[in-house]
Amino acid sequence: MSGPAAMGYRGGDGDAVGELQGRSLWNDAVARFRRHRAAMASLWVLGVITVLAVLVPEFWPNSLDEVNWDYIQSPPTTENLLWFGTDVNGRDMFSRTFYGARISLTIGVLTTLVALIVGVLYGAIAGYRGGPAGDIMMRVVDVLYSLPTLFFIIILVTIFGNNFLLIFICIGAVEWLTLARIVRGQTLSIKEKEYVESARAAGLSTPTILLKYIIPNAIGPVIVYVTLLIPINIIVESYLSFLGLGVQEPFTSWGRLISQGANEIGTAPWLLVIPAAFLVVTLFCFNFIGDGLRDSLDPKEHTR
Amino acid sequence: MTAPLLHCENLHVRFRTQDGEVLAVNGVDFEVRRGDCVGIVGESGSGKSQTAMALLGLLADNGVSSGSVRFRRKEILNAPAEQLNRIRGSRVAMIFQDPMSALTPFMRIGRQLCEVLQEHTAMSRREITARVMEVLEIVQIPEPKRRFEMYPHQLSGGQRQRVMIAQALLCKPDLLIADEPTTALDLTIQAQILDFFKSLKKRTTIVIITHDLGVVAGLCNRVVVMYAGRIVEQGPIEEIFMGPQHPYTRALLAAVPRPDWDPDKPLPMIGGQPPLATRLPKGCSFAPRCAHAVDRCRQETPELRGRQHLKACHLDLPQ
Repeated sequence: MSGPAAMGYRGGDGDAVGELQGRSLWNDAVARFRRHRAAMASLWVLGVITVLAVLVPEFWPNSLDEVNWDYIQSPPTTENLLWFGTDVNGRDMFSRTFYGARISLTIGVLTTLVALIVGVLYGAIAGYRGGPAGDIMMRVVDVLYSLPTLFFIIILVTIFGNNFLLIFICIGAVEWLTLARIVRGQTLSIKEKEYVESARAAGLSTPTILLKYIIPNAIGPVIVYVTLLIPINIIVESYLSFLGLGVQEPFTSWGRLISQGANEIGTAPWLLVIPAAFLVVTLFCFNFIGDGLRDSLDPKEHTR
Repeated sequence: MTAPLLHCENLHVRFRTQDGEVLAVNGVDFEVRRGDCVGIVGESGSGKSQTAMALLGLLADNGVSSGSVRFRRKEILNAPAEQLNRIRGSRVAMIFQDPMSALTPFMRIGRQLCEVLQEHTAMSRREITARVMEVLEIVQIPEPKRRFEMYPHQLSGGQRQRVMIAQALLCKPDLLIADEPTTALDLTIQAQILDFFKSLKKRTTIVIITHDLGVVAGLCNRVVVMYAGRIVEQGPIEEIFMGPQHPYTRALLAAVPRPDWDPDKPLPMIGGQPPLATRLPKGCSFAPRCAHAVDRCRQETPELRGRQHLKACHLDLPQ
């Protein structure tokens, strides 16, 4: 981090004054992220998978539940656009893989969003309130933490039935706990900062202080954790689908495809290998992005 | 006589810590009249900052305050947060010691300033922006339009302190409390900010907390000297500086380096350490370090007595 560009200084192009624009810490972080090759490549790969997940199920000639009688359990072939082959029922795996991508990514992102909102607010309130109230809030988290996650989700799914909306509410309802802990820890240190004191001295209300002063300053480690939470949630959904508690036929997700593929591993390995490869690549991508974000949001990197 | 703007009576501040209860402020009485500029001086740990924090209900979680603080005749000590929030920032504003950390790093300067007005007034967005620009002009920030769009880390320390002062002035407060406003700045900037405080005296009543006697001398008309959580002496500035009555004030004044000081001689200083707030000595807290202490000082705690010029000392020292 040196040189005129890094200092926000623009010169030479007829500007009498340097440092014209307001450069936030975010702008600096974005600039650092862009230089992180693995993270940028991962962002591209994820982007391509996302676009395909959106487009393929809508526009691909072979639909996900259409049975191709001439191609039952066919290995990948160029004929009839069956690039990823077909499953035991003769359904196009290309279409199914990207429909699975759509479900898996949606669940990954939406559950994380639920966990993010609940966890950040809960943690920030518990940390900012402090005292006995804050302690009680965190003991509740501890108790929920002690429940075995998967078991808890399975109970919820069994009680409330099995629909798409509930799956991500259930997963999100479990995954917010770690986020609440992270944010509470951050909040405890941030609320002692002078800018929070100064905001209180300026008579700003508690919600304003929480939303505009505490949370933005606590969000760095949260973003990093979120990029790790998305793949975790994709995997949790895979477990559930593997156990038959997730998405129902004819719809599918990566977890479900893998579970079905695992049954045919001797006769039709592509049914397992292809969706598993996509899942692994996606998980890697999120992890690399998490790495990149951690490096670029690290305060130690800040040159002032 | 009209009622004082701020009246503080028998203020105590305690902190519960793992080493036991810390008595940071131990029965402080003082008042601030409209148009005054009061300086509160004392060493680190004398309770001067905690006094100010207690006034506005800004103590840390483990702090408890008791006594009475009346602002414009209304009791505000331990008032509910909603009532305090109406006063804080609008009627009483506070400036903090370290301008480097007193602005949140993720918000543009302009937004942070507008926030205060949005909270306290019903002004429209345009009026708020106009008022913020006006105040930025008052605090003499160069190119306020550009600064408005900038983030805190792009400003220098002096500029940030000006922004902090601007934030304090936005709602035209009746009382401005400045907690060591120049400590974190270098000397030339200190001088500029102090000059600016002089011009502020016409706009508002000021309480300035500092350990720098030079700041007090140049700015205030009344001085409160604190030691170990108590007021040891208070009075009009000329009397304190020309005829200090309490041995601590005398020692403090003697310890200020002067331009004509002979560099070969040691700097005068006060021997010993201030007492720990967890273990205050019996009697006068200053007695263990006091050159004049007699047996009575170690037994009885002296009360703050006098009319205009008050001191808390058993002895009547010769001038």
